[in-house]
Amino acid sequence: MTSLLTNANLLWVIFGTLLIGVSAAAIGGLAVLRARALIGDVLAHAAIPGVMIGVILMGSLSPLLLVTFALMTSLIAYYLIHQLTHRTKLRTDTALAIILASFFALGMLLLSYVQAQHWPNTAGLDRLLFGQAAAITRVELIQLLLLTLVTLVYLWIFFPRLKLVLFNPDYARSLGIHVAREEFIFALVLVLVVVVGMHIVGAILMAGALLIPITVMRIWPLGLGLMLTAAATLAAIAAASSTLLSLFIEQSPTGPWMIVILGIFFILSWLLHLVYQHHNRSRKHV
Amino acid sequence: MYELWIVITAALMAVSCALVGSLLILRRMAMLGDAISHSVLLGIVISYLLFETLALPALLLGALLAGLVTAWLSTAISQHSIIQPDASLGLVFIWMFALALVLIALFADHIHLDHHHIVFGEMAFLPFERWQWFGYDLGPRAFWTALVLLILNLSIIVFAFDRLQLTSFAPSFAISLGISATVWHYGLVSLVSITAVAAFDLMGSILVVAFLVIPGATAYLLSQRLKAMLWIASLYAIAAVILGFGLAWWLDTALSAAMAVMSGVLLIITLGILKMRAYIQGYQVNQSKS
Amino acid sequence: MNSTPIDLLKLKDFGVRLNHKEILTPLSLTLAAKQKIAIIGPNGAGKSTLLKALMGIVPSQGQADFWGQKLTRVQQRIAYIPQREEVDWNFPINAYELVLMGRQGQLRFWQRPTSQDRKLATENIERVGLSDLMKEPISYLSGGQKQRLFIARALCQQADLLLMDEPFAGVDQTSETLIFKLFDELITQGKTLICVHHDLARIPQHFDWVVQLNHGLIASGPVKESFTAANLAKTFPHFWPGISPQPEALTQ
Repeated sequence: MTSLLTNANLLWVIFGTLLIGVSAAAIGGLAVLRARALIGDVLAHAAIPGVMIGVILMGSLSPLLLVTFALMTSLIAYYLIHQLTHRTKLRTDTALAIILASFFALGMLLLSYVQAQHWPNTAGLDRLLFGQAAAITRVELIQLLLLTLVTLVYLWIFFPRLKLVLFNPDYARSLGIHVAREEFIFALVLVLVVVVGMHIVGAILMAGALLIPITVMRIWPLGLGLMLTAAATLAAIAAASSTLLSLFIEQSPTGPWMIVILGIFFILSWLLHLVYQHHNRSRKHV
Repeated sequence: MYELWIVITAALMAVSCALVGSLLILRRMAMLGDAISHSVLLGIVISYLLFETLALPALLLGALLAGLVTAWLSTAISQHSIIQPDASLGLVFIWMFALALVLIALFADHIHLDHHHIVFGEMAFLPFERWQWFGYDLGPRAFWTALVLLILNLSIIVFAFDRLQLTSFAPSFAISLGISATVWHYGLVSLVSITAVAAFDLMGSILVVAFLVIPGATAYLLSQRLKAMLWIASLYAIAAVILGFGLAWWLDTALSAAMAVMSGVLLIITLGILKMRAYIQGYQVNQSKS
Repeated sequence: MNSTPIDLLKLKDFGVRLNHKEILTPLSLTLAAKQKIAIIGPNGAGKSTLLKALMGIVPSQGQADFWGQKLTRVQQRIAYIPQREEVDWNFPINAYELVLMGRQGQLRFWQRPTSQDRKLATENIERVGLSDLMKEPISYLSGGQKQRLFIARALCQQADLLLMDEPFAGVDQTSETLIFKLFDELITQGKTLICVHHDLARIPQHFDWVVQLNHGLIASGPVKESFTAANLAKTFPHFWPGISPQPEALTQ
């Protein structure tokens, strides 16, 4: 791993994880505030059957192809969650769990089918499920860069409207805003970030990258814009330091380090908030 | 005969999962199964690092503790802050999973973690590991584990039915009656942890995650009362096991994945039937009016 | 020009069916502008659904014309005030941002609120008496203050017609008095209010027109003529006689 130091690859890896961290924290933060904290977890699991269908139909492991297929099944999952919560009496958490379990089971069924056929070139599938940041390539880096740009520009342009649509969709509809369209664009960007990110940091850890940064900041009474910016900054710090950690400590993976560091940020934030509350209370007594 | 043992054992496990899973759905904690299935890895890794053994009891103990910590810690965080229950659950289990991966990379790089075993379980081999007692062959050990687990779940649910119902439906009213909703909440999540960990070893995580939510959710759509919901969930779980066994045999795929997929298929069929029924009823109302 | 005055709202067989179930029984009625209109009826009569269907939030059958035109042509002239429980009050925005949302209908998706929009938001917060709390996170506010914010947000739309869904539910006396005072101001400015309402005792004093629903239209007319014991008995058929209101007494 020390060879990484002399390798230009190091900068790429830092840059790549940084981009994933920032875009995941920003778009994930909004999804979490919409009472869908575990949506990233579900979408990442829902991408797996897509990948498998891609392998079975096309017989190749080309990243772009698999991302396209993964995108489709994740979008279907998002749509089904919406339908289940709006058209049946199932609540959001149940709908999420159902979709996660069924899509994951379907993905695993297809995986075991693919493995039973003994097709060549399917060894790389593990990377998709568990992620491997150190193996980042130049093409992937460019993809990530584009993705992050798209995400941030989208969030910046749509911010006032997104705030309204996520906070009070019925009212947005009464203003004549096309809420279904806004939600579809949001879902598309979210799914894109999840699908691209999961083969850098892995499926579960991607869910963490979406959820944990905003949760660290959520305890503080901040405005939405500031909260999202702070969450993205934390994610960037965690991403950069996790890459360095995985470099200095031999054979440790980047993705898990990033989540562990974000978790430590949460503990610190929690403790600080306790101190802050205590301080406020004692001031009121005086 | 082997096939029968597999189906019976899987059905017993599936019913256990469906029963506790139904209660989770009522408490808006359907994602707990998925969460525990990830966080147990930390328990397994830590107990391996402490005891330096891969013996089953030590690992199961670690897994159980990790499951309990997930459930308890996430509840505590959401109860003491503005953070929603699902966000705190995600925070805890993803963090524990990541920590486990880091620990493996740091200290246990030489042990080979068998993803395949964790996800799929080894249901096909369960009839071969048998329980001998004074030379008598009492059948597969997994069967007895599943039976004990089901008896445990059933007896707790039967004995504490009213309390579980009340604290699920109206926690604040329960508190006003002097019943501690918190104690029952922690009790239920502990029961889920025990069930999930015991089932993981045999059935793999997919099956547990699926059976903790899908049969319960299907039953929730069909029933208006808790007792009926528990019965329907159990029947759906058994049906999914049998159909899944057929599917796996037909496609030559993993048993656990096929059973989980079948539970999803049963849910889709149920939704379709409900939709049809609503349509027909609406049609009849229209007819009678005109 | 001697044209007949155009009605504010004209419904013809207007109803809602969701998932093959009748939520709002089709009804036909006509309402005139510049008055305070109360919609009353038992739970499940479809009062909230009626408002949502009028705003196009839930799909509807039949015809609804505002000022003789379809909703999409006049959407910007109508403001909707949803029930308070419909949103997550822990959402991290402050009172001012919430009120500013009322301007979103007039803005394209890439446009930011102009200084004119900001001025309107500030003025309307002042109008509902919450200037001090402008920068407070919305989670810190009381029920009545939250309701007043919702009203300020709707006022920002500068609409001619306001549809309100139970604005007095769980609201304290201060806020209630303030809101009723605001109602009168709005009427003098030539606006129209349609309000789903529960407190029958306040109707004679504060409303001009009453629409009574219970699985279809029971009655629609001026409060003096329509708010009678006979109509109320039809609207609330299982009313407990002990606490049944005395409409004759109330109307005096």
